[in-house]
Amino acid sequence: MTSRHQRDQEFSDFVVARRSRLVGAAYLLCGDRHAAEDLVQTVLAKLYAAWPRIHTSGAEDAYVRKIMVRTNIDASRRMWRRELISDELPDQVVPGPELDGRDELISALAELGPRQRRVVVLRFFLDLSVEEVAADLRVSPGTVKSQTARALDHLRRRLTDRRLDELTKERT
Amino acid sequence: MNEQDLRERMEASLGAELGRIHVDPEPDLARGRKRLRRQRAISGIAAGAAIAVVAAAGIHFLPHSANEGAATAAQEEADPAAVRAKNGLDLARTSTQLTAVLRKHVDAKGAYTDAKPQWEIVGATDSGKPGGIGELTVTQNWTQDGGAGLLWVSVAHKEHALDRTKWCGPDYTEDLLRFSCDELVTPNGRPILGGTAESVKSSKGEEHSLAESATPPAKKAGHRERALHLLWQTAGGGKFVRYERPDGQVVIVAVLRVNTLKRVADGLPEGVGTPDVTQEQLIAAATDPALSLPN
Repeated sequence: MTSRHQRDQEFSDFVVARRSRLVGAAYLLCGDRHAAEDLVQTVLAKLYAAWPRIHTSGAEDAYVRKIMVRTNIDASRRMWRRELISDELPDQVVPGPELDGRDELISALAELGPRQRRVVVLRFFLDLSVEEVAADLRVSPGTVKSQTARALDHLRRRLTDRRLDELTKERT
Repeated sequence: MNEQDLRERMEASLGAELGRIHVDPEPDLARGRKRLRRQRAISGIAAGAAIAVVAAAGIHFLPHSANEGAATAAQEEADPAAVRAKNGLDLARTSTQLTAVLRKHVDAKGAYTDAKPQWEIVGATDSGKPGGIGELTVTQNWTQDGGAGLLWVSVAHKEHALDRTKWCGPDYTEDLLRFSCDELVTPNGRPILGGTAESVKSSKGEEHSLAESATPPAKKAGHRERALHLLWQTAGGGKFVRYERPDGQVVIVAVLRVNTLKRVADGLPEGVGTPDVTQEQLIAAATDPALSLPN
């Protein structure tokens, strides 16, 4: 098998095994299916380009995770810088009409600021430790803990409020 | 809802939202090959990467890099985690040190920043020497009257810093926030650049003054117009200083705008002021010998 064939085969095996999971994580990060698909495509293209180095050290999952988060951060940072004048600023909690009809938890996640959403996805969807999340996001462990607490608090409150709203509607 | 519930609900929600995902690796292979070809093609311009890294670090009011591709490649090369693993840099300790020094000068009582070191690295390069940091840019959240802002500190060795002339050069006006660029003097008589936000561009390229004399919005103005006006009128945008230390290191300290749009969105009272930091405080921080990178 030639080196290129070998790379292609190994990469394809990785994509088959992991792509669905990656799209899931990206969807939770972006809150939008198209953006999630774009993000995964970008991440996998970067992985292919770096494959020999990454595969040799067995670091595919860590690399993909890191690149996914960095790419997502870069996207939101560009938005902050280049689309400053917008009603959709980072970290504001404004439920939009597009959230209607969506899964309750997905909608609640979409209402989180990008930092808190990243922390939640890395901690609870990808099962990373506080220290691993801190390293991936390049923030202090204290930041991870506080962002996690705030995010969980928001999720609990939103989900409870929605449930109460639904029950109230049903009874009136 | 405990943490395990959250995990299970995420899995269930994704199943409901995305359904079964068909996986075909061929398109990903094609995109990967294309990226690899492009990467090899631009490897020849890697020599210019050091400068691009500083621009790519994302200082909001820096001129954009002229070569987007080179900047992206350089940014990937500058992944601090990779740099740390390779050269044993201690970015975390240095970041904590820089933000602590900054807080001492601009928020000694901890009124606007968290006492715990909660920073985020937004740019880092190695110096080329084992364990050496070439440039490090760190932000910390600034909270004031319910609005959100950022404290910004960037320290770079001379060869890793953006040239002084580029700060106030023609490209300076390309970014969204436009700052004045004034020649100031430190208490010790050394030159220092400083500026305050003067105007901000909308996504349509329209420039709006940040002066407080901006015309108030009409009573019938919509939510967005009122929010934009609040931004012009009260956000202040922020201020910065850029100081070249006697040892050659370049320090940039800034406090960026307090986010009034969030206040509007959250239905809070209007009237958030400019970040409560004086230019003298920024100068004191920038000239503090402790605000430096280890040699």
